[in-house]
Amino acid sequence: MTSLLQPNLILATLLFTIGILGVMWKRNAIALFMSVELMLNAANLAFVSFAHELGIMSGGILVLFVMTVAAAEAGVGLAIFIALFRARRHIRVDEHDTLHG
Amino acid sequence: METAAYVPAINLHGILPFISLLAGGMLCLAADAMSGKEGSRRILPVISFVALAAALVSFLLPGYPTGSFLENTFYSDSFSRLGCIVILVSAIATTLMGPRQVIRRNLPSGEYYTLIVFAALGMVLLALANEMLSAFVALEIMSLSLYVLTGIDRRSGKSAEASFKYFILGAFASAFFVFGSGFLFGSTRTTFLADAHNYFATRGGNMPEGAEMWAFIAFGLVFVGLCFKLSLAPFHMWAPDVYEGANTPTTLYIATGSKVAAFAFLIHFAHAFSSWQIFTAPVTFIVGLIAVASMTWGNIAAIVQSNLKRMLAYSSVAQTGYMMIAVMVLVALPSLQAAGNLNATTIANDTTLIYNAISLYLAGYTIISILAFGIAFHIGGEGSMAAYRGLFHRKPFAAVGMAIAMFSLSGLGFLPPTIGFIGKFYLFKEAVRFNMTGIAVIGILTSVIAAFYYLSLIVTMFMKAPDEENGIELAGRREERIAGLGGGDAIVRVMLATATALIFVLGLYPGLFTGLAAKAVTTKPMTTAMVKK
Amino acid sequence: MVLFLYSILFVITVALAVGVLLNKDTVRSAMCLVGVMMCLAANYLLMQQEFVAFIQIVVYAGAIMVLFLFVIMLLNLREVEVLPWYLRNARFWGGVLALLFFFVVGFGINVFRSSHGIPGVVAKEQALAESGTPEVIILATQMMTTYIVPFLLTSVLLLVAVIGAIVMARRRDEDGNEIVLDPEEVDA
Repeated sequence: MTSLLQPNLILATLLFTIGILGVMWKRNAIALFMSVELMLNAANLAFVSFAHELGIMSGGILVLFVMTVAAAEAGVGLAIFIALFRARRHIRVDEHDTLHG
Repeated sequence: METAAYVPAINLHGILPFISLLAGGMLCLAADAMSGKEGSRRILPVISFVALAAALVSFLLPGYPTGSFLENTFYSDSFSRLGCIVILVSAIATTLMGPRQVIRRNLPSGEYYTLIVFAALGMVLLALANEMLSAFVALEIMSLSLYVLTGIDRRSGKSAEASFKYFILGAFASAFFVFGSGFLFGSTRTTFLADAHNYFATRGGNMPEGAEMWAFIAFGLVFVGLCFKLSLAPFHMWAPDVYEGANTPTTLYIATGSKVAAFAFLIHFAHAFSSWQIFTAPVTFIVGLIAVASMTWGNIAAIVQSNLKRMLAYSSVAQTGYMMIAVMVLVALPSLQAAGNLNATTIANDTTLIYNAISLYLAGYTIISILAFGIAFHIGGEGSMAAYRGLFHRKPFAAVGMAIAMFSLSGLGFLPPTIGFIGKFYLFKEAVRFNMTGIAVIGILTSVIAAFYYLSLIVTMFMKAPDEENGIELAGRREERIAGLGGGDAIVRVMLATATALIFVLGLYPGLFTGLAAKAVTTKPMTTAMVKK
Repeated sequence: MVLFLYSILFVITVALAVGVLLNKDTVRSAMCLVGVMMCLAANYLLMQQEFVAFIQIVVYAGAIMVLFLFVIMLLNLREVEVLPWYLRNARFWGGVLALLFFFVVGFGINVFRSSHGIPGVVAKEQALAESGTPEVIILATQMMTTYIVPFLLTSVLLLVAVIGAIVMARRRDEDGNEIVLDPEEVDA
């Protein structure tokens, strides 16, 4: 069977790049975070395909850790969104420019 | 399948700090659940202080292991030990400011102290980590705690926004970190940095072409991830907003603890690559570029800030830039050795010297930050510059303390020598000693730019007449009067006085600090533990 | 055959990822992301990583994305432009930097000849793999031996996440005091 490593790495890099673009371009809090999830998935793909190519069966280990971290991040992140949303609920969006990015 | 029960090799002293921090965090949670609002406000600072102090003492006790420990996942050398001491000092300072902050902004004290202790655990783990997955999990323990600490003040809209921005960019940086770890795994087949170091030492010369590129990509991606955490120049956009939006003790914690931890891990990470010949030249260049960008951009942007916390944010970008000079020198050391300029015995000594220079600089930066942010916290007003106009006429001690901090931070205070000056002096000295005069000169020039805004703050404090019309300082006072400020004030004063004293004492006797790890100074090669395996 | 399946999968994955990026509607974006995760799971299956594929679907697509959808619906965030302040003027330069990133990393991806030896960590499990031990057992063995420390650390991470999520999402009144719901009020 031909090695899928190279196309898989390119796929991972593409997904990662799309994730970066999402973080740069998106204007919606949740969509931003989804782009970050896309980047983490790209990292997982790279890791699994490396492990497969090198014949290391435990390549899934990193995926498990990344998933745990992603779940933890999702929990905290979505809680932060809720807090942010509550803090600015009564105020029109463009008036609430308190921090200058 | 038959496998004997696996008994991990555990050095009890090695994990003592982790245990005491973990136990401290748990106790905080339990004590908060068992006592009422007032009770937990009184008990929790004590518990978290004791836990942090216990961890600090276990690092200071002689006989803390050096080299790899706990399944090769951690590596302790003189630098990471000193780094952990600095981290714990900054965590203790944050805790000491806690009681007053909790009352002032009516924060949930249980979670506040618990997260401070857990963040300290994450930082200490990260500073000692020598394996990518542990480092990643430790980084996340630290970051998640800090995101929440940033946004814990629910009465402030700024705080929620700062927390959100910190979270998104932090998660973004973590993704870079993981992707980089994947590439490191692909090129060296391991996530253990000691193994990676071995791999580069033995096969670095004749790696397959693909693997070489991957190793570079791995370093680049992880470096970018850490640059975000260190708020180095092109990746610093979160820092000013987060510093401004977070409550002041948390700002101090982010500015010192998290940076020291990420920096210590960066040193371990760069060490893994250092045995690889073709690595040094391009990476020295890239690190130098980042250092120059941070020093210049941080110092120039700091001039125009109208908020003290934003100014200190840009100033800390510049300060981290100075630290990167040391990373440059460390990365370049092996190639200098290969060129025949140095022999193997001096390289160990030189590494120790550079470690001492950086850890002194980090300690200086942390103590000065404790003083500066502590006074900003003491004065209140969320860092608005208006609160500092004519401060000397209202609060002379605070003004003098802030002036000392600014003098020391700018590196000007050489008579009597302050730790800020000494730290910078040693850093530039090491750079010049290894033929990196160019970057040392840039460092000195940007320090001169920096002196401008540090001094202008001092002028603002001493010269201008007090502006009774501005309400910010008064608002802060009113808030405190309503909240009924307790004994927290005295503790903060004692802490500030201690920091001031340390600035001068360590400036005169820098050996006192670097001596803390003197017993541990054995730049044993990282590979010894691997042979056992 | 595998290559043919793989090419289709590649195209679908990229298309769905672009869908995540370009959709204005957050729910559609989220569904595209679920699709990407499913495709990656299929990709893992092609590499004989059954357990990872399974976990990918159950945890990522199943749990994490449901959490996302739940929050989107809870806050009604479908099309709200919530962040006018975030990274202003970054669109153009962000795009340039991302493309640069893609070309630099893409340039680095060469065909890899796996001809060099195996360091210590791997040797142990190589024997297991040759004896035909299932993937799950190898993963579990590695998790409990080589990677025991990060595994233990994740417990602390999850504790921190729980504390953080509670403290951020808990309702508070104007003064920052906790709002305790009256049980009778809840019943009514």
